[in-house]
Amino acid sequence: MSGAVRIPAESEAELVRRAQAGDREAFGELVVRHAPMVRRLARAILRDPEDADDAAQDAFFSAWLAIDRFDAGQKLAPWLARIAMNAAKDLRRRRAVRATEPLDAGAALMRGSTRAEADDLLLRTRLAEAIAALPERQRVAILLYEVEGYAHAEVGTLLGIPEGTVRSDVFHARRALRAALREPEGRDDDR
Amino acid sequence: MTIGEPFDSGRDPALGELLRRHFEAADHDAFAALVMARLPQGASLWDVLARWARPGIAAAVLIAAALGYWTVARETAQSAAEPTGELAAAGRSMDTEALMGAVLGRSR
Repeated sequence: MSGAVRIPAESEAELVRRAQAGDREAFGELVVRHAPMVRRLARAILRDPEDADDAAQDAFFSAWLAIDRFDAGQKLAPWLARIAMNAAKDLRRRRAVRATEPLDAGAALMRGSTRAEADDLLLRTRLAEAIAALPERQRVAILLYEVEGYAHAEVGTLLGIPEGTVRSDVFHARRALRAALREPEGRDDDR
Repeated sequence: MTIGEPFDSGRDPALGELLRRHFEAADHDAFAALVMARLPQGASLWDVLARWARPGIAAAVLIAAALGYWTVARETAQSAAEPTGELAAAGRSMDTEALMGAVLGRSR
């Protein structure tokens, strides 16, 4: 994996082995290392931060229960990513997940901001709206590719879809996001 | 941010950074502490029960089946024996079918 999580393979393998032997401290270290990725992935699926954190907690709980079945010779991140995606989808099935609105620019916030801060806030708001408008699979695919650093084929394996579909999803997601960032007034004009 | 060609296949670090910021959650240490607080301490009672559940259920099914068979066999033997006694008490002769039924019932 060419993932963004840069952990020396030996140390992670050692932590996994200790966790498999029931060492909670070792598992805790793995949680600290992989929490950012697991939480981002849960947010890409559920969008509501509280629901996403609930799902991320569920994911680590499931991982702890199943850690003795994990092949210590493999990378942990893809295994955790798969568990996180399942946990997020499972949580959505179990409860009516809170609906979320894209972040509002917040005119009140902008009033007291400098020009640069206001521009940044506007950019983030447009990005949030565009991300929220993406189909879930495109959202997860572009996160796994652009942020987590997986290759197209690896994203395909994680999502259970062909590599070509991943390329298409990433392309369409990227185009939509770039358009939103470039065209504040007419976001869909160049699609 | 970089505005790349629409069909490029390389990564866009600027877009990636914006996405990371968008999806990033705060305070991972507090989150990790919450996760660790939820983990069971060692082998819990439920873990032990879960480990024993499958063989336990299998043993219970076997015992129930044996008890059921024994009860049915016992009742069949008793009910088969009754007509003989009743007929004898009534002073009537038994027909062959009733006699065979009684004998076979007892021999089970």
